[in-house]
Amino acid sequence: MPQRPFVLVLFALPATLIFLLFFVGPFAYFAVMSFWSVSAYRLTPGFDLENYIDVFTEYAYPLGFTFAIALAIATVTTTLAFAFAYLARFRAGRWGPILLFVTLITMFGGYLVKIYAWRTILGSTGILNAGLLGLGLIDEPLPWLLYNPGAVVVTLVHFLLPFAVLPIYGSLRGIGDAQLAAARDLGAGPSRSLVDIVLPQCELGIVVAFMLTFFIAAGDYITPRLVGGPSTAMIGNFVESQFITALNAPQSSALAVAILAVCAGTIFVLRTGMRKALAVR
Amino acid sequence: MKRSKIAKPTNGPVKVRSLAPMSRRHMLQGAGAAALGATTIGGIRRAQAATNIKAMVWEGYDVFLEGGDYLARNDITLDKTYIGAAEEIIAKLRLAPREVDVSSPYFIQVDFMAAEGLLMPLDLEKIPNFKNLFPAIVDAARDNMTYEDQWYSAPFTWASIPLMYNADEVTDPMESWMDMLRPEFKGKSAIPADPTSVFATWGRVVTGNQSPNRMTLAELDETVKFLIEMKKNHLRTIAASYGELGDLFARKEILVCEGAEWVAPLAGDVPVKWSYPKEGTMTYIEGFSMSAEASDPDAVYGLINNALSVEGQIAGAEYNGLPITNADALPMLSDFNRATYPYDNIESFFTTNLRIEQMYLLEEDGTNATWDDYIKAWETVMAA
Amino acid sequence: MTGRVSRIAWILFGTGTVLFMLLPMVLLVLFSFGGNELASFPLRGLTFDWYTALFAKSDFRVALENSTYLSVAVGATSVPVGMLAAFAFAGLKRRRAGPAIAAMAAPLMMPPLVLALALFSAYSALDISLGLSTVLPGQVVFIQPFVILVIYARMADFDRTLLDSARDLGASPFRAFVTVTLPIISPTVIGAALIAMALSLDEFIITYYTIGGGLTLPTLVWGLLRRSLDPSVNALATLILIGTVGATILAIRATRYRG
Repeated sequence: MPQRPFVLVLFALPATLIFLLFFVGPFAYFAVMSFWSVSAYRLTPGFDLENYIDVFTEYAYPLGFTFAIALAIATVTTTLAFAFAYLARFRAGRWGPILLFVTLITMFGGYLVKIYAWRTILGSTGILNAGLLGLGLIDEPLPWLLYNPGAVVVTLVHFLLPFAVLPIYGSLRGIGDAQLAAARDLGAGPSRSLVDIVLPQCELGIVVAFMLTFFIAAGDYITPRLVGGPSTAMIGNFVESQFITALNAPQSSALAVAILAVCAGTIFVLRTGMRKALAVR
Repeated sequence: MKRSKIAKPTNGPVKVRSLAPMSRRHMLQGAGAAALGATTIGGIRRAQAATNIKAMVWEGYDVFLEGGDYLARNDITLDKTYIGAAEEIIAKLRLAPREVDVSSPYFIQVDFMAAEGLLMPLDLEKIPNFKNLFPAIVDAARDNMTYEDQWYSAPFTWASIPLMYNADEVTDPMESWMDMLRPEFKGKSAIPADPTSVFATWGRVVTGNQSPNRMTLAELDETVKFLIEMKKNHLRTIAASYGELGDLFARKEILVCEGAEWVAPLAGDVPVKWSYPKEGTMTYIEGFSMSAEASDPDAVYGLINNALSVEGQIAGAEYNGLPITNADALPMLSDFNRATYPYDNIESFFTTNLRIEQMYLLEEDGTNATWDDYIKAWETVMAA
Repeated sequence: MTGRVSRIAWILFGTGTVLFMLLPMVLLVLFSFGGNELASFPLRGLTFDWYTALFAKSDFRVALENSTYLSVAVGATSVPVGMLAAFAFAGLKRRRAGPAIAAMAAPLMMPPLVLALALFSAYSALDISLGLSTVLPGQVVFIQPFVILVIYARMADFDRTLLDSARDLGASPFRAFVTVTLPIISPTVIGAALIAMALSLDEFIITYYTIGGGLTLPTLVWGLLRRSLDPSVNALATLILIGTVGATILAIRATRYRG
C-alpha cells in the first residue's frame, strides 16, 4: 500500500477530481444560483434573498409537509432496517446470510418500476383489495390505500429499506459475539445489551442509514406524483417544476438548498440527542 | 394535447420577449428530454442518407411525417427531437435556427412566430395535399396559422379536451363540466397536470370568462380556489400525464375526468365516452411549420405534403389515436377512429361547443394575469 | 416463556419483512408473463407476448445498446478510479480515512434530483452538449463511493505481510502489486465492477436530466409509463431486474461477501 504522501495523493487524485468537478463544482454553482434571479427568462447573477423569502412564505406548507413525511419515512425505515439487520446478525443464525442476500437483490430492479408496482398493489383493482374482497372482509375496494401520503410512505420505505439495512449491518458486523456473550454472563438482559453495547457501536451505521433515507425521501418527486394523489405535493415537485416548467433555476435551487438545510439541521439535532441519550449510561 | 402549451406573443400589441442566452436554450433542451423523453440517438443512428432533416415535434407526430415508407423512398433521414413544451420550438428557432427544419408549434403561437421571422411562409403549390383538407379545419385554423395572408403551418391533426367518462357506470347525461362534480363522482374523478387545459376549462366554468387565457388576476384567484376545493374534496388524483388518465379508467380508479379523446383506447377493457359540455371545450389544431432557415426546403415540403397525404395521415392517425385533416383519407380510417371523431359534423365541431383559445399575456399590466401568474397559480393549486 | 415468544416474533418479523421487500418484484415478474393487459388478478394465462412486443420496439434496441455501453463505461471508469482511491485511503490512518470516505459518499446523501439539476445547470452554463458522455461522470460520482467502500473494506482485511515478503524478495512496488495484491483482491474488484454496472443500469434520474435526447433502459421505462397502459413495461422491468440482480449475484459469489 502506498505509504508516501505523494503517492497517496496521486492515487486519490482521479476520484477526487471527479468528485470536485462533477459534484462539488456543480452543486456549488447550483447553490450560488439560489441567490440569483430570473427576469424575462434571463438568468441574472446578483445577490438577492427573494427566492428564499418565497421559499418560506409561498412554499412554507409543502416544505413543512415534506419535512414531516420525510422524517416519518426515515424513522420508520431506519427502525425497520435496524431490527432486520439485528435479526440477520444476531438472531437468525444460518439464515442471516440469506436475509442479507434478499436485501441486496431488492436494492435493484429499478426505482420507477417499484413505484409502478406499488400503484398496482394498492389500487382499487390491485391485489390487496382483490384479496380482501375475495376473503369477504370488505364489500367494496378500499380507496384509501392509494393516492394519499400513506401510499408515498409505504412506497418509499420499501425502496429505501435495503439501502438502510446495509450500513447498519456493516456496523453491527463489527460487534463481536464475545461482547454480547460476556454481557449475558454478567446478567444483562437483551434490552440492556442492546442499549449499552449494540447501539453505541453501530451509531455510525444508524446515522448513515437515517441520513440516506431522510435526504432521499425529502427530495423525491416521482413517488408523490404517481401514488400520492392530489394533496401530497412535496418540495421535490416544486424543485422540478420551477426548474423545468417555470425555467426559474434560482427558485428551484433555493427550494433544494432549503430542504437540504432543514434536513441537515434536523440530523444534527437528532444526532446530538442520540449521543446524549446513549452517553448517560 | 400532451403538455402545457404556452403562447408567447411578439411584435404588435405585445412586446417581444427576448430569450436568455445559452442557459435557457440548454434548460429547454433538457426540458424537452424531461417530458416524454424518447428520441433516437442522432449520432449513433444516423445513416448516410442523401438528406437529413431535423424535426422538432411531439412524440408520435413524427409518424405523420414518415407515413408509409416515404423516408426510404426518398432517401431521407429524420433527426428527431421530441419536445415537452411548445415553447422549446420557439427557443430553438431563435437561438439555433439552423438546428430545426420542421416543427409542430402550438398553433396559436404560429402567427407571431411568423411575425418574428422564425418561420418560412408556405408555398401551398408545393403542398398539393393541402387542397384536400376539410374546409372546416382550414377555416378554423386560418386565424392562427396565417400571417399577412400567408400560411405558416399546415394542419395535420386536431383534438380537444372534453369531459370523459366510463360509459358502463355513468348513464346520466354529462352536459356540463359541473356534472363532473356530482356527489357520485366524489373521489372518482381526475384532471391532468396540465395548467393550460385545466385553467382554460375550469376558468371558463368558474368565472364565465370566455377567454380563459386572458383572465384577470382576480378571476384567476377565484379559479384557483375552486380547483383547490375540487382537488381536496373531489379528485382521486391529478394525473401526471394524459396517458395516465387512460390507466386510471382501466384500473377503475376514476369514473370521470377532464381528458383527451385519444385517451379512450388506452383504458383497456373499460369503454370510455366523452361529451362536449355546454360551457365549452378547449380545442386545438396541430400543424407542421418550416423554419425560416431550413436547410432543404424542398425536402421539407415533401415531408409536410406526406404528412397530409393519405398514407401519412392514416399512419399518424392510427399510431396516435388522433383524427385526420385530409378528407381523402376518410375511407381508409379504422372504424374506431371514424367513431371517435365527429367527421360528419366537422363544421360544428369547431364552431359550437369548442373553443380555440387566445394567447397568454406576457406583460404585466396590473389587472390581467400573465403566463407567469398562471404557473404560480398552478403551483398554488398543487401545493395546497 | 419469553424465549419462545421472542423467537416466534423474530421469525414473523423476518418473514414479514422479506415478503414486504420481495412482493413488488415478484408481482412484476409474474405480470410480465401474464395474459392480461391490466396488471391485476386473475391472470389470464401465461405468455411471452409482452417480451416479443418489447423486442420489436426499435426504441428498446436503442435503449439496450445505450444502457450496455453506459454501464460498461461506468464500470470501467469507477473501478480503477475507486480502486486507486481505496488504496490511498487504506494507506491512511483509520481516523483520517473515515471522514475522507464519508466526504466522497456525499453525492449519495443528496436527493438525486438535486444532483441531476446541478449537473444540468453546470453543463448549461459551460455550454456543453448533452449526451451519454455527460451522463457518465454524473453516474460515476455517486457510484465511486460504493467501489471505494467495497475495496477499502477488503484492504482492511488484507495481509500486508505478503507484500512485505514480496518486497523483501526484491520485487518492485509495481511488481508486488501485480503479482501479489491484484490476484488476491481480484474477486473483490470484480464484485465491485459488477455492482457498479448494476447501479448504472438501474439509474434513472441523473440520466434523465443529463442525457439531452436519448434513451437508456430506465428512461425507456419512464417513456412507456408516461404513454399509458403498456404491459411490455413489465417485461422491460423484469429484464432490468434480471440484469441487475444477476450481476449482484455474480458479485456476491465473486467476493464471497459475507456482509
